[in-house]
Amino acid sequence: MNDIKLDPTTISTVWHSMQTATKEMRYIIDRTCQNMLISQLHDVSCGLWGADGSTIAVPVGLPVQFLGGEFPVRDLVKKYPDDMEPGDVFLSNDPYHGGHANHLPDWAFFRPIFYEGELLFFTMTRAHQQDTGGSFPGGYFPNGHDIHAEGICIPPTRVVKAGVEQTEIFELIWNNVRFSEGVKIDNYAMIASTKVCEDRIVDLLDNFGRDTVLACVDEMFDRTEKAVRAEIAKIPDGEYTAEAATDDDGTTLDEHVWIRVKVTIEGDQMTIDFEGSDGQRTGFVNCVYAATYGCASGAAIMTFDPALADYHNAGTMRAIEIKAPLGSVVNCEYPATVGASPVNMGNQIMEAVLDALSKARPERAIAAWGKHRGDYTFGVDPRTGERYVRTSFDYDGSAGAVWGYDGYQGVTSLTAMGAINRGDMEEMEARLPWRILKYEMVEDFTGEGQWRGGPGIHWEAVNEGSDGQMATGSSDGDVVQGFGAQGGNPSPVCRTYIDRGDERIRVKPHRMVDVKEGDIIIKQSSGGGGVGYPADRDPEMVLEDVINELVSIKAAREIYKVEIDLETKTINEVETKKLRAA
Amino acid sequence: MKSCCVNVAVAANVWHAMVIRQYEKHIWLRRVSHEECVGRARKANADHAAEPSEIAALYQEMEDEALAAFKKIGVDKSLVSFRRTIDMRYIGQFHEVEVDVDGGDFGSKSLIQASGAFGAKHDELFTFAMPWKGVELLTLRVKATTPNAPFKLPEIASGGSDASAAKKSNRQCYFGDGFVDVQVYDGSKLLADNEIPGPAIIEETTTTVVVPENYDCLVNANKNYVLTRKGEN
Repeated sequence: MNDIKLDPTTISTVWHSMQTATKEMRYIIDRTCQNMLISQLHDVSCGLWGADGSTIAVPVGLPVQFLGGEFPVRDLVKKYPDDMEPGDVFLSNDPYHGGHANHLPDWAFFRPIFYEGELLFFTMTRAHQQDTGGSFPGGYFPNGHDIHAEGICIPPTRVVKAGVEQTEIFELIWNNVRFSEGVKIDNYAMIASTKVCEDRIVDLLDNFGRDTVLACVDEMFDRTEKAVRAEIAKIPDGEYTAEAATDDDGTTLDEHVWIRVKVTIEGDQMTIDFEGSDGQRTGFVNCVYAATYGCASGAAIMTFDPALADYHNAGTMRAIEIKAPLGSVVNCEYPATVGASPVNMGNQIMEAVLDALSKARPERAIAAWGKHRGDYTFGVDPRTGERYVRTSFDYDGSAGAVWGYDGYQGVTSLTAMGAINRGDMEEMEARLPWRILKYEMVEDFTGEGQWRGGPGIHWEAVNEGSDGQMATGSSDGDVVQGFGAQGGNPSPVCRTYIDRGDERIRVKPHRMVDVKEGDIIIKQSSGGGGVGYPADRDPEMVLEDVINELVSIKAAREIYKVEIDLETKTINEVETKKLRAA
Repeated sequence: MKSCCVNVAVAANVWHAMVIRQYEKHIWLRRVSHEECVGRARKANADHAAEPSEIAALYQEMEDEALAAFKKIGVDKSLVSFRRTIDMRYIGQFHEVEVDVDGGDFGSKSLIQASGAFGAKHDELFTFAMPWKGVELLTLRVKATTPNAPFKLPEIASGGSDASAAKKSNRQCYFGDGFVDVQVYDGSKLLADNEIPGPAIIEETTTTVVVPENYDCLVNANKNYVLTRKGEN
């Protein structure tokens, strides 16, 4: 294989064909599934791996869902060493027992891709199901005693054998989840996406030949590794530490849970070590290693050249080592609960790594993003007489600032890294018995800085359905604030309330509460942290924010040290000079 | 490339002879059972079940509207053909697939035919179908089309092989091996059968045609520039 000569066009074509195949997978799922969270909000990841588990193409998805995809693929090969054939599909949602899922609602379908009888690749799609069994709908509630309380645990299991659906296995699985008719459609949509990927990759092999394609994959790894090492080499050698916490674990209330990180740069090698993080908890904020690996590498990737974004693969990971002590909250052991894992500690892992790297490389500093403000509400929709569960990201804040730019407005929590969308209001109201009353960006509700975080969000909706319940986890940010970088301010604290008649009830994250017919849920979710000192912000940008009602006159004066005359929409240069000189 | 044909603007105004009109009716109907032609309404957001007679009436309304519009521009109804489609999806899905529906009286059989066509197209596009699953009908569409009106490409007068009457200027142009002296022609003065040896440049109002060194150009009756490699005529 070594004597194969590759030209740039062939490498580029093979590389982009593989990326495009995984993007097309998400498109197939979009078009065919029925779960709003997957089809519309894109809580789904699709990728391509080598037969040895090497990550080949992961351009669209959530770090926590699939950047650690090499681990389940490797274990799958171990479990079925000589017992796989074309047309097989395996399903798993188990964080343990070889599944390496981040939490139970994220079901993964794996398909081995054979070419002329030889196993060459795996494709996987992992997506958040409408339900996964367990004590309450949606899979996001605190206080489970162990993983089995959180839902059905499916170890890597062959659900399609040589193209034939193993109906009895599926029936056993679907019988253990709510909304099974819907989950069934979504499962078919996901399986279809892996089939389309297989077709595309086989076409590619037909066009270029096995040896050329495999040689291209090696070259892709080498090129990405070289580019990533060049990025790491730009970071000054040294040890950089940071820590991040979540408000509590939902079981032991009002006690922070901490993760701690030390990022070591030695030349072109990066080590991310979570030694010193809290031990695994009874509450549902634990991450298995694959989830930690996905979040930590995702955060590191964010600080690299954005031009590499679609091209990260196994080559990236050759330059990054991720250590997490076994039995800790970032490398939990069976039977620890993991329900909130993607958000807590997922967000904290990403925040801590970004915080450490922002100290190391100011010109790539990235502040914390707005916290996830999940609420998982369930009850009965009177229009259908059927049960529903609402899982959404609409009430999340916005991105944190980066050096040189304000935080992007409207993206949801950091752990999704921009992959997840907000929902369409009309579609939400058509499908769920909640009418949206207010949904807007809020003044003075983000971390200030030379570059500020994206704006915070105020979201309000009224329950037109039955009495029901709401799980506020996974959520964050009522106490712990997202960090600002290089002198930027942290993101403000968030609040959730239920208005019931004249009564206003405050609801903290990681709680189960009742919701009554007519209740109004109010969510105030702050934007991200700022980067650089607020008093260094360009006064023209402050003026623009004041005009756009994102910054008040008072905050302009007191925090940004800019005096604005709102009537004439101008900067009072003299006063501003005085304020900034003080 | 042995030869190529460059078509310039002279014929562009004749491409609008075919007329298509499109009409849409937005509905939200559900057909729960595939065995029965009229499904029961789920006690759902949908207004009511899919009644073939209602759908027939909506198609009829759109086709009548199309015929009236064509009549206004003098197109006889015998010349108009219709294509009916429905945007369908499985209950619960967010996106539809447009499928063809047979013409004529829309009845129970049409609904079964459309559901079958939907399943087949879903399978073709997405590799699977769910025949046990109810469907939703979201948009009815009629495309009304007239055939192309007969037309002939306009022709220009013949001017013989000599193109010298269209000569405009000379220009130094780089052709790979260096600069060469190139004859520039005024495209608007060229006539049919004019021959232009490469290298040459033909300037049109809206474009410029380069005749490479190893090609010759022949102007044909429809004012196409036909380029042929030298020695292959």
